[in-house]
Amino acid sequence: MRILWLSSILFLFGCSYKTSESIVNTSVHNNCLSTLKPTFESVLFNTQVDITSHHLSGLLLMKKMQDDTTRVVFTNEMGLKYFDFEFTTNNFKVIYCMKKLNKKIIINQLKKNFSLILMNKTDLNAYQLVRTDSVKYYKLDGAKDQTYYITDTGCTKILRMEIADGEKKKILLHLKGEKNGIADEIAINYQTFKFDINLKQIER
Amino acid sequence: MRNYVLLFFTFFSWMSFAQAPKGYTAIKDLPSFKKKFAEASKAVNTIKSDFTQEKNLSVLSEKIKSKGVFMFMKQNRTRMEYTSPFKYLLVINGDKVFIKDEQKSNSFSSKSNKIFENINKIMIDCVQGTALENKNFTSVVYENDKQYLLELTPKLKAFKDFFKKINIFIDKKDYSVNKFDMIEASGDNTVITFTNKQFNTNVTDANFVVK
Repeated sequence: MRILWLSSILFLFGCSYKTSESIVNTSVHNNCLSTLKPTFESVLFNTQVDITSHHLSGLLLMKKMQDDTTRVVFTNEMGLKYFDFEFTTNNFKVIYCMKKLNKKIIINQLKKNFSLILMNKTDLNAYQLVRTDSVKYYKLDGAKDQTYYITDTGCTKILRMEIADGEKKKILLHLKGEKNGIADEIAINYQTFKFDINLKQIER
Repeated sequence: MRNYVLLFFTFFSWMSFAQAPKGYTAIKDLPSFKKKFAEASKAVNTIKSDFTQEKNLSVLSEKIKSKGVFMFMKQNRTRMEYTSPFKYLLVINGDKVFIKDEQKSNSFSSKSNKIFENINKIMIDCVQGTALENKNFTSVVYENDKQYLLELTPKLKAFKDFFKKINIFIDKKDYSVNKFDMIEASGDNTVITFTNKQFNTNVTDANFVVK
């Protein structure tokens, strides 16, 4: 039942709110983002998922494999597996997904978010520097939306990520701290309805 | 003809040998085990023990370890409190389930969740000595000099989607559960091991309050 509302809500995901920030296209490319790719080997996150009035929790493992793939595995605290995804450069494969979660709309959203976090695209250099003031915006135009990585001016860290449709923000991903080669805390917040995923690293 | 008989017995003796898990043989006296398991369980009203949990992600060569405190009270109250490396509390009181993680708490009916209902039933069956009577599983019993091994295979599709088999290791000394091993079709498994078991001690109703 819990998963039905998730599907229904995600279907309503089309509308968004308008951003107050105006972005100036400076059409500059550089390799800033390539230098900021996460370098973790294996990290475990305490994970909380809130969607509308529902709440799920568990443990999310990200692990780089020897064959250059990255696995993202989410289980509940008692070991019951929700999903196991494999990310390779520009590619994605569902190794396992609990039947109730195994809906295209859900998997696409999870794929989009984790792909952004893992920075597994080969075309990171294709991101355009579109705005510079107190932070730097790197933008890539997709078929349906635009993806932004926002870094500090010195390109020493990624502050947040955004997915937007024109000037309307759809998803914000905030990163906090750095541990084991990736952010210590990651907050994924949908802007059009209540859907939040919060990750915090666990020391093992 | 004699050759066929010989072949038949060779095949089945090999089968039975192959089916028994390593270090175990098929139980010699099943009725006696059932009787003693039930008798020992009758004398137990409460259990308190420490537990360690190990989730093995086989292909990833990863183990996710956690630990906490387990409590049980007759007839059907179970409490699992994870204390490290995260905080998580699960209380099952009859058909009510209460969960508290590091952010929120939630309660619902176990009947709305077949997995919770079945896992709870297995735990209660083990404590009450009726694990072999659960009609949702087929069971086989093995033994070695220290433990009995109950191998439960789920019949229900809802449960099969998660677990291929559940192995329960029972101490021969006191017929208490030493270990659960929940095996998934992928080969991944979750092992919960119980230590420092205390029977009929200071476990009270207050430990199973479901808000």
